[in-house]
Amino acid sequence: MKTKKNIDELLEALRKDSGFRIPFGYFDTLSPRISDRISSSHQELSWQKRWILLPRQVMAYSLLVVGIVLIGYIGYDLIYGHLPGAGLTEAQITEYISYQDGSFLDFELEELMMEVDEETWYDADEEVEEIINYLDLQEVDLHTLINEF
Amino acid sequence: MTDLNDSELVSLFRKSNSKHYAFNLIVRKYQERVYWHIRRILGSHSDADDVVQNTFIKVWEGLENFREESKLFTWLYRIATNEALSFLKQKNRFKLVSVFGSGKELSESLISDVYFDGDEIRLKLQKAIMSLPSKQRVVFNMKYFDEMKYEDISDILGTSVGALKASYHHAVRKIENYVVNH
Repeated sequence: MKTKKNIDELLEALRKDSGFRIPFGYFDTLSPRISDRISSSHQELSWQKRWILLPRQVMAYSLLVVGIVLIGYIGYDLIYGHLPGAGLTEAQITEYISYQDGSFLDFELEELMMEVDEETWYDADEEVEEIINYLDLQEVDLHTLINEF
Repeated sequence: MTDLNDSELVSLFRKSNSKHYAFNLIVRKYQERVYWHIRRILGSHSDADDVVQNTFIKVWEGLENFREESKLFTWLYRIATNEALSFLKQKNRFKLVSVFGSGKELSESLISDVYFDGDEIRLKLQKAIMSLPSKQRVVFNMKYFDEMKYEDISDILGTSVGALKASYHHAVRKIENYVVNH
């Protein structure tokens, strides 16, 4: 059984030699190592400051470019956006023309000619009908007339 | 070792052309006392080495604003104690062990530490000290090994003298019990 006196003596011995050891020359190298860490953290800090400033500049320039592009796009859309075919892509237009089996100009002419022909035929029918009615009123034998001509 | 007193060292530190020089003198003046204070709290040399460096880096960062309301050494001790206790807290959080339950781990790390060379009796006493709750261990170390006055410990830890006396006596009682029962 250890007495209090024994423990006091043991603690006193521990005060003189704790049993803790340190590497040889530890305190000679501690101060330079701390200075090195301070210098490197100082350098890191200055780099961090640069990296904080740099993104700000990059962001400002990026916003400027995005703004210019956006204004350009809106302007272009306002000027050209409402023309016929504005909503179609180039691929869609090409596909449509090839479907019509001709050039864009041919397609327009063809449509125009068809419309003119239809009107001509329509007018001709009316004229013929009027002539027939007139000859009928004059009691002309149409069959004989047709056969003679 | 420098002949300059603390106040002169602080003044020298505040001059931009002698800042590094003054800091170097401060480190050399106090490195051993700060190291041993931290080592007694943590046990392991490598942990103590990390914490000592962190302590002096904090000193470097804060010395410019040090208002000399307390002694430089008291301020240094306060930083060192806080750094050591924060280190323990962080380490124990990582290992999911409470600060109060860390004594066993600390004493085990002492056995495996190549920088511990004590005989059986010293190992047992160190284990007894390591088994104390961290703040009680700090009080015991400061009073017993550093032979500091309660008033100075009170300044450093921000605890009343009465509470420190009670804490110290509890610590001594626990160490006695540990040594008797192991």
